[in-house]
Amino acid sequence: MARVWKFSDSINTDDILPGKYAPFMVGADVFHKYAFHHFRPEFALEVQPGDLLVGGKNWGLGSSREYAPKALKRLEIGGIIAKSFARIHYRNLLNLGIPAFDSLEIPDLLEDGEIVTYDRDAGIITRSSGEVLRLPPPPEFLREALKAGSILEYYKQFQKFPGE
Amino acid sequence: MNTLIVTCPECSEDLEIPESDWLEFAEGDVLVCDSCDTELLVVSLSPPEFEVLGDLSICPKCETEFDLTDADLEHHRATCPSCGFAFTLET
Ligand SMILES: [Zn+2]
Ligand SMILES: [Zn+2]
Repeated sequence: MARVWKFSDSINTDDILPGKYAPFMVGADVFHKYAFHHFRPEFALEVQPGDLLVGGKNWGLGSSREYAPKALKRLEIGGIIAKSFARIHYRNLLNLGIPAFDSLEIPDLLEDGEIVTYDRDAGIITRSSGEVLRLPPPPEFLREALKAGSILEYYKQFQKFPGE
Repeated sequence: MNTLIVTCPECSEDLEIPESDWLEFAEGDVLVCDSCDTELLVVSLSPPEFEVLGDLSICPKCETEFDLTDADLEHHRATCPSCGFAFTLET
């Protein structure tokens, strides 16, 4: 079971992890506990591994600080679905093995707090009504990397990047 | 700890990258200059080599390289001609 956490358009990296809670400010072991601290202070306390984040347009804009996606990785976010992503943040998410799905329709369908069944590998969300939402397939290189855990893990395992 | 110093080819600012961060970089990652926001594509990890991205973008989804138009740059967004992925450019 995964809970849907719905956010608005233009969530930037500072919304995801405010700069003052960067690892070197609060400690590398606890910084992820401040994810969305200004926006939704309850988020980091209540989020469960595998939960889904849903956003609108331009998810991940702002300075391409790597600790924002790292905080989401540490919280074991199951995936992010947004209408569009900022380029570098999208890449950072994939590099860390956090599935990022671009869809114009699905973010409008899902509701905040909704509990769904999320099959990451099949890219399928099943709502409590039984409605099935199919996520766009991730790029081939990511599918290979996710099997290994992340692109970094893939590299360690195979000494090359997926698709190479 | 070792620090990698990368001199930005556009503004000559020295960017200090702690070794621990550098170890997490992969080829194809993009480094952004703190001082002038120029994007530097990591083309090789050892030795560290970079390429200024300029008006070139790489689709974050399918890795196709393509030229950004003036309109793309003005609106800070682009669509990959190969896979159709639409994305926002950092400002
Ligand atoms: Zn520079
Ligand atoms: Zn593409």
